[in-house]
Amino acid sequence: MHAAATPANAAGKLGTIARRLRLRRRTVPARVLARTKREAGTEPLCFTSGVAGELFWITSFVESKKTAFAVARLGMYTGLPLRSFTETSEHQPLELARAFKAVLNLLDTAEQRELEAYLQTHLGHPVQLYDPSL
Amino acid sequence: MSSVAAGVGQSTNESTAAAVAEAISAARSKLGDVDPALVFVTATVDHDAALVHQHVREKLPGAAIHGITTSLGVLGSGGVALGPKGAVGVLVMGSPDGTATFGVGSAAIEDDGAAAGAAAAEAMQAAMTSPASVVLFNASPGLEEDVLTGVGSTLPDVPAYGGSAADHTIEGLWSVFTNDGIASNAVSLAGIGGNVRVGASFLVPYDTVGDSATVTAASGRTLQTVSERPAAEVLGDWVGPGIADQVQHGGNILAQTALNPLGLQLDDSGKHFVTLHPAQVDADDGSVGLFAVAPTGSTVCRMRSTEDRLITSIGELMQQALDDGGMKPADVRAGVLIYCAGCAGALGAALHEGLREHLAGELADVPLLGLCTFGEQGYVPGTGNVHSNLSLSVVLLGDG
Repeated sequence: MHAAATPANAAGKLGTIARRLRLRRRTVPARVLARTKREAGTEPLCFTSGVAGELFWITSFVESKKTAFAVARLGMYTGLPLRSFTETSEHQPLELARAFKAVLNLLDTAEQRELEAYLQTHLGHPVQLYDPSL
Repeated sequence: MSSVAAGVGQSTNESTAAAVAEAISAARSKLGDVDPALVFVTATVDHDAALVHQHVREKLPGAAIHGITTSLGVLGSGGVALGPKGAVGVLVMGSPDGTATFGVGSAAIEDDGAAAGAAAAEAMQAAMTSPASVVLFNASPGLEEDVLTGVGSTLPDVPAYGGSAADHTIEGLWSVFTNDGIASNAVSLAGIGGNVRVGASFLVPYDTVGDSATVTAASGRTLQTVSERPAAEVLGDWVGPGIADQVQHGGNILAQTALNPLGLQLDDSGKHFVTLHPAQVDADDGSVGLFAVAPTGSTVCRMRSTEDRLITSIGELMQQALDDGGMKPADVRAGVLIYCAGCAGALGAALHEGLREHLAGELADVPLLGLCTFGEQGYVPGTGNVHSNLSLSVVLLGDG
């Protein structure tokens, strides 16, 4: 039906996005980086490594702000089983990159800022949404 | 006395048992004393499809079961129905005077779509007491072109309309509801014949833009090269910077290409096209995954639409079907609406409002069950039954 990504291709994409996320990491407050490094115990792949629940809370926000239909659309454009995630689900950078990109298409600017505040409240650290392809 | 009676019901209840019960209760109430002969079932994959089937069978033990899972929700004159735990919808049909006939047939697809299509068509026709006037075609995504060929070998000249099973995330979580149970890779056909009036329409709401090129290498539904260039490069030139990142690094391009897909010329007239929805770019070889076949040597072209057109097409589709059947809205006893999930995803909340706007007035009273699908099938005069993407279809049934 559609071309599935090969493991090699997925690894290549993961590397590309991870490199971009490292660049973005410089804008993340030092407190978050310190916390991430302490929790992960190694150099973090991205600023959210070691922090869980991002997609659970994004889904929760979209559901409350929009509709279940909007959550389903987000699932279609990310390919991620959003409703299966919990507050403790940990995510790969590729998953987060897909979700951030899709959510930027779904929400207007004001809603994006509202989501960032919502995520900060629930995750306990600042989160800046951005398009990883830019 | 009418020859066709039907009722539609839907539910967003979180319990699968309660959702099925609510939907069937609403639908069944419209049939009065008429025995349900056919139930078209749909549900989102939030519900366990096997449980949905089990509860439908318990509630309607005498009715033939047919259907597929839907993406994004259940459609109707009230808009899009989807709750946090999904949605269930049913269209229950019967014949008050016994002169309309219904029958279903199904087959596992495995790796031979044509054989499955032929087997399902034979089983369906054998279950009917009169030849089918129209076939409701529903299958798993993957080999619909071949399955249609098989159906056509058994039922030549019988128009088929329908859509492919879908989930929300394109993970292959879809199911086909057959009379015998659920299946992940199967085709189910529902034939309707006898004393029944049929009005149907199949619409590709896109126009060609001007660019076209020859497919120089393709494998199944993967477009490898176009004009001897990697397909992703050509698509990137046509669609623009919106997919530049995916062309370079690979990835999902469903959203970006929903309004800028490819078209496949069906004949030399330059008038008839089916739409191909580019889904995924493989950066390793520059190939593009589609939801339909574009054979080597065929001509693909650049297509375009607008959100507004995808909405107004609902009204256009309904009018075409009414005209086709020589019916007014009050004459319609039942309807099945197929709306591409890619179009629905591109529209978002506008689809909800569009359905309410274009299925208003007398059309709001028509028992109409709508699904969002991963591929659409319909009848094109002069060509026959075709498989397409990003398309709409509707079948309306009235008294014969």
